[in-house]
Amino acid sequence: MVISLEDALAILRKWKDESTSILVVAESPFRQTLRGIEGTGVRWAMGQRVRVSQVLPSVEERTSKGIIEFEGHAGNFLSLAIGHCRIVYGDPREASPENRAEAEATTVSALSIFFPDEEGFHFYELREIT
Amino acid sequence: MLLLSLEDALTILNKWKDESVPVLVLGQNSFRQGLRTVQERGVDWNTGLRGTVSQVSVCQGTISSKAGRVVFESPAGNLSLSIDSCVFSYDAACERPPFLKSDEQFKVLSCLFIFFPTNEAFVVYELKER
Repeated sequence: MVISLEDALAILRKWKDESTSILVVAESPFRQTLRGIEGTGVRWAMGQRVRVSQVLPSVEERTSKGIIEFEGHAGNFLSLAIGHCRIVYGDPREASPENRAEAEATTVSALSIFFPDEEGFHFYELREIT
Repeated sequence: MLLLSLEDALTILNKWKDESVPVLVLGQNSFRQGLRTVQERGVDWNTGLRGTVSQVSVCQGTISSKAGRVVFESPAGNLSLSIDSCVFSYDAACERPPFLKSDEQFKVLSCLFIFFPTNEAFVVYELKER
């Protein structure tokens, strides 16, 4: 489901407030599905465990850049300006039949952020293992 | 700053791999105005990963004459680059960008710039424990 920048920032603020554990997987260029560095034409691919550290600023203007920042436990970080991105919210129940069981067991939801320059960043809200 | 061939860049990366040198990798799009934060104009995203070089490979590519690949790993994630169509430069004495948090544990020695034709760029900083 494609969502607005405001809705995406609301989700990210919730993840920040709840200190949600997130797996981000990204690659460029992104085509339909994640392919990894072995995929034809993929220039870079990465995966990181992070939490949301900042969501800036509140979106009240159309010109807002919608900046979000993530930090990991080993000094890793990721910052995005998502004001011009296409953003898709996903639910593990929407995963393909062959992946649905694993998706439901490991993730609560997912947010995919696509830049006009073809980079795709996929944020998986990880389920707490108790 | 010294411009390097793919072979020279792979030699440096292989040396860092063989010696398990700690590295900090910064990535950014766009790099037109140098390393900056996403709060500044013209930067869509940036990322940082502190770890080591875990794989360096080169093979005969189907389109370009050689396909070079490098993988970085850290306790928090990984980053893979396919670098055969990149431009490289090396600085034997460089400093960490001012917008990064200071690091009491490591100081920066040299750095390798990896520029993609798409304006994405990655900088690999060779670190040394203080």
